[in-house]
Amino acid sequence: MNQLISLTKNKNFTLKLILLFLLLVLPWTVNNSADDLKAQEITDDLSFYQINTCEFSLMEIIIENPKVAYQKHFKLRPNHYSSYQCFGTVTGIDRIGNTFFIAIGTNALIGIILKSLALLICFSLIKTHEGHINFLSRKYNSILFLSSIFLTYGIYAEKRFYSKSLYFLNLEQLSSYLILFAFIFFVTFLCLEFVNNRFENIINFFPFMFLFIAVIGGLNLHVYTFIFTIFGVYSLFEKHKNIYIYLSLLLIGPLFWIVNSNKYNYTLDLDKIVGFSSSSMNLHSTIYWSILFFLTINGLHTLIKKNIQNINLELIKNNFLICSFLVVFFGLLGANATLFNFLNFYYFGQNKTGMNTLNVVDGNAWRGFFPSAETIGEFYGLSILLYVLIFIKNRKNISKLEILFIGVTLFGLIKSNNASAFILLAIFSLIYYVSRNKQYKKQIILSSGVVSVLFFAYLAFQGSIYSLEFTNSKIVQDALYYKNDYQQSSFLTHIQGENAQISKLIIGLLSTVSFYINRSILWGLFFARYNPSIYEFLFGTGPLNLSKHYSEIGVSNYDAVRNDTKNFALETFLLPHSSLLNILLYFGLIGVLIISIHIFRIVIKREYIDKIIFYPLIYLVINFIKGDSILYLPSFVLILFFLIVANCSLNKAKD
Amino acid sequence: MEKNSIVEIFCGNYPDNHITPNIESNPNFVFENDPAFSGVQLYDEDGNIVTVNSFTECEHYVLGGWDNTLYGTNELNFYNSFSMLLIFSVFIYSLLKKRKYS
Repeated sequence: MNQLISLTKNKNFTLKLILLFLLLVLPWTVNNSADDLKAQEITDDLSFYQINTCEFSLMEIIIENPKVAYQKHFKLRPNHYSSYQCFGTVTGIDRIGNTFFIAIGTNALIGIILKSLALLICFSLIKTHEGHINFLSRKYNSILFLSSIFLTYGIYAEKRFYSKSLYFLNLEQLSSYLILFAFIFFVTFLCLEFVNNRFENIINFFPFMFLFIAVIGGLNLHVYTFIFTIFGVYSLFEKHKNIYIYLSLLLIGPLFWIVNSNKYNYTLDLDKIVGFSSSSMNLHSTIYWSILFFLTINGLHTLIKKNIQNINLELIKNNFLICSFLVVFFGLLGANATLFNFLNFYYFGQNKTGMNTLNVVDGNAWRGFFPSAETIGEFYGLSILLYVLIFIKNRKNISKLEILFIGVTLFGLIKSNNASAFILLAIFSLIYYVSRNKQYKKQIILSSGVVSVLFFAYLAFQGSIYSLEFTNSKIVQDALYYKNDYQQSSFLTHIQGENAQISKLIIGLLSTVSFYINRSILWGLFFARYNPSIYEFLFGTGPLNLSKHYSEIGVSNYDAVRNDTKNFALETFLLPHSSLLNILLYFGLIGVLIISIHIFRIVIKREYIDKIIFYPLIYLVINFIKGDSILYLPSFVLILFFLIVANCSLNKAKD
Repeated sequence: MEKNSIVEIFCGNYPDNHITPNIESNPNFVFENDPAFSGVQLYDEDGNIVTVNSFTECEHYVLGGWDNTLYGTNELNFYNSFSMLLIFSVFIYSLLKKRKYS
């Protein structure tokens, strides 16, 4: 903890704190109304606020209506599509039922500057060193310009998405891109300056990505997208062999994706996956997201490889705990106060506004601060797992602060309702404890065996174990139930054919697994939509693109027999809940096989990997199969971190 | 600024003996083109564009709140100026940093 407390001893700490405070308060305060107009109490008659839009700052409204800050029937919503003149002001108030929706102007282009400044001021507390790349050297300038040009191209590639939030720019004109380039160039410059002086330490603070999610409202970007693009472009200048891997990957798979995407023009409302998924499937978006994906992977790979000796697991563990604590803390704050819910969304860059209640509705879990309860549950579980593993290894005393942090994290884990994270946490803690205490090995294995037998006996007694015939066909049954009447996916056509014995065997196995981990319906829905050509099945359709999957084949939610809705949840944006299925979609069967082989290699050669890395990695891989980790940048970076560190250990052992 | 002055800025001087017709009371009113009047383009807040071909028509639109600059132009000017400011600040920072190290 001392390492973290030392952050406050950073030079200019007070100045940075004042700057941060100003960034937090000023945007919602300065844009006040004219002298002759005063904010009024918000009542059922909203005509005053509907006539006088963009007149009152958020602060004026709060002062006149303090209840807006905490009462739950007021909801503050960001309006990314507003003019710069309306920034921080009320752009409209609507009433739906008993709830008042107050729209606050949060212009996307001002947001990009404000959010990146706020985030970088927070992260500037990380210890600095001499610049890794010489300032304004050829390499420095190349990274700066290439990254900025590439990210500006990203806006061109997703013109349809940006035409809403950047409505004041004509995205068909070159001059608009010059303006956008200037904004992007500025943020890239800030990020480059920031990472260049913290290149050796930054990796130890990656858990904070779960707190500072850093999605820029109105744009399909994280602030981290700038940072990973910088690392990715930087890695291209490195003379390591991974550049060849990168180039070969860039040529074989993407060539097919790019050629293939030319025939499609699908779009997707990104909702909670905004920031790390393509909003459309066409030639340019496929080119952009393919390059961005590999820049991210390769950039992170280079960063970790170059700093493998600087990785401090003790510090990372502490950062996990502090971050988990803060995510729960701000989640609770947002759940109880409307104003904090809004500020959380804006400054932490959430993909989706946090929950405004602590209650769990319809069996759903409490996701609190994060867009996905399952993913944040994994994160809480991992924080505790890392703590337990390092505690077993070092056997240091537990401080009161650590007890508080673990308690709050445990609360978050329980509320997230992620049973598998809880079970895996217990299993891996036990396995590690056994491996460290050989004298108890027999007793622990025996008692674990007894508990497992009793558990299965209980399940059998409860009637929770079903026939293999039933579980093997569950996914296909669900896919057939949810398919629409006029169009069938190529997967369903294939699986119903006579020459699909191998496919039936694999799907049967997957189906049984899905049944016991409560994924049958979700995976069934995936296969009801899964409509690849033979080449798309082999190579995929390109990374981070769900547009074709969700737009090509619709599913039916009406049960004609019962004259009712099939599944209430289907009305929402239901994700596949399996990153493995996402990989099948992105990279095809070949991608799934390559990744599986890579994981098996790590498992087989596990003796060369530190257990503090290996067990969390396997914990994440299991959760990866049944969760949407690949769709959120923080969770994707989390698994990549452990994967790359494990890989580096294997390569070191080989050398 | 007086309304008539705005009309004169956007539409030109008031013609001699000009009488503003009461259009509101006549739903079937049709503006007649004035060949001597060179067309003026006006914009509303939603970005709608209209080309008026007579002084009467121009006056009617201007008094109704239409403007001779696109609403978005102000917006665009702001981003243009702001983007230049951003580039300039990078330039100044670079200059200062370079000087500090040299």
